[in-house]
Amino acid sequence: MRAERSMPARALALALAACAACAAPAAQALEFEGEGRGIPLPTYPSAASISAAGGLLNGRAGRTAFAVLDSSGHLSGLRVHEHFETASVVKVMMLTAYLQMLSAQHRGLRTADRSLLYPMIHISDNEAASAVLAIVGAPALARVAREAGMTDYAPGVGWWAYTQTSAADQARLLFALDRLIPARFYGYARYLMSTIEPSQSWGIPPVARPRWQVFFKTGQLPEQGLYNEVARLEGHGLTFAVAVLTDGDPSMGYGQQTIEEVGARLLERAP
Amino acid sequence: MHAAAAAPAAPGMPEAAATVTPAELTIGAVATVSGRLAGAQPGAGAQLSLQSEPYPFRAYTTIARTSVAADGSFTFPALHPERNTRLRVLVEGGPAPAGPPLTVTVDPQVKLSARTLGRGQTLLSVRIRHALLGSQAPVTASWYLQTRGSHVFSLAALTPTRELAPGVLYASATVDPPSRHFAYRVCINPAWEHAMGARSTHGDCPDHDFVLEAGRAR
Repeated sequence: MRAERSMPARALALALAACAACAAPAAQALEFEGEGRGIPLPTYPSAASISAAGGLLNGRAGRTAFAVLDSSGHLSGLRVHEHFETASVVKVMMLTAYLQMLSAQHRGLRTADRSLLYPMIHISDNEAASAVLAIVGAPALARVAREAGMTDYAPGVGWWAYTQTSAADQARLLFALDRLIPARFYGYARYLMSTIEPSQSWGIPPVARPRWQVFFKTGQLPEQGLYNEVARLEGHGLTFAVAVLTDGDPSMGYGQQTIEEVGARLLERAP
Repeated sequence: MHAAAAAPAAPGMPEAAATVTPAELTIGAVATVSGRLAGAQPGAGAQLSLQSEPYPFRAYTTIARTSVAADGSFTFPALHPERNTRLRVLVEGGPAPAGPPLTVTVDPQVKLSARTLGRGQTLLSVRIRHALLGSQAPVTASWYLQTRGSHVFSLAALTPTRELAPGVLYASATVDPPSRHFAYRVCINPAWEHAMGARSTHGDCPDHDFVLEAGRAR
């Protein structure tokens, strides 16, 4: 099928959508519009898989939520806007903000940068995270939240691990990473988020690999039974994002099992 | 659509009132400057020159001459402007006109194509004939997809442009179509951008999803 047309350049008034880099004045650009036809890939995960994951989560102890931004960019899940504390999954926002800062400063990654970012993601080092936050500043996290379209974000009171979030926000963030992280640093971010040490690679990676490339971060506040995981999955020409948030789990193993089983339900049908 | 200009005449000097038709055209199309000479010393045989100042508007040069007809009218040979151009008509031997110049806005010639390659793959391409000006180095083409019924254009791909031939830019992207029928936009900021089209069409391509402002969407 083919569609062809000719047209002159035309001015476009653009308004803001999801992100807040978008807070810049509406742009006009040399832009042309056409119409196309095609056969979309089936949306993944399927509605049935998402429903199964929701059913599973409803039967688990504690407070739970999950969100999927599927390969078509549609959001669904269970209690997607319920507030949770992020624990260490907020480090993805810190990573994004730091890499945006480097880009704004027109400089590359130096040893000092890597010595903070690598441990912050690879072993979820809290001191490195605190240092990163001190460098980028809290407003940078708020900006990342705006740019990702995170509507439930609120800064943590007393400690960054208490940052408020929702499953919907985290799914949006992970889905938008390729847009939010400057292109020159995106490969590094993917490297960090796909090579997290095995002891912290629980939940979705074990059930997704090797069929899917998994870029993820886990977080936990064991004293309150909080176990979270956010993941971006790529494969088969598809990309989608998942966030599973749990609180009040009876044990660490229970929380991790909950997230793993949600992942298994979502991925049980091949694309 | 045409643009008109009349040079205020100095005392005792004839005045050339000229128009250019059309005032906006696609590269490759023809524009014509014509008008009427009036004033103190009109008459057949008076010599006029047409001066052109193409973008970046640094200096006028004479590009054509013609004689005034008995009725005072004149027409210059057809023009083929390749970029935005200012024009003025001078009575030979007279001073340069003080009034605003005629302006011709030249748009690039654009051909868009969308071709289905198979499930999850549609090849989008754009071919643009443009002014030969500035660097022909590759720039980034930003591709946005809109599902039918949605107002949001989502950034789907960034691909490099290339020059198929001098003055012919090409870019393509293979995308997963968001629906069986969809709209797409491609945006570029080439070196020749400011040489073509209306000023309102110039600006940076959005680096994120966007929606068309209400009332401005086509």
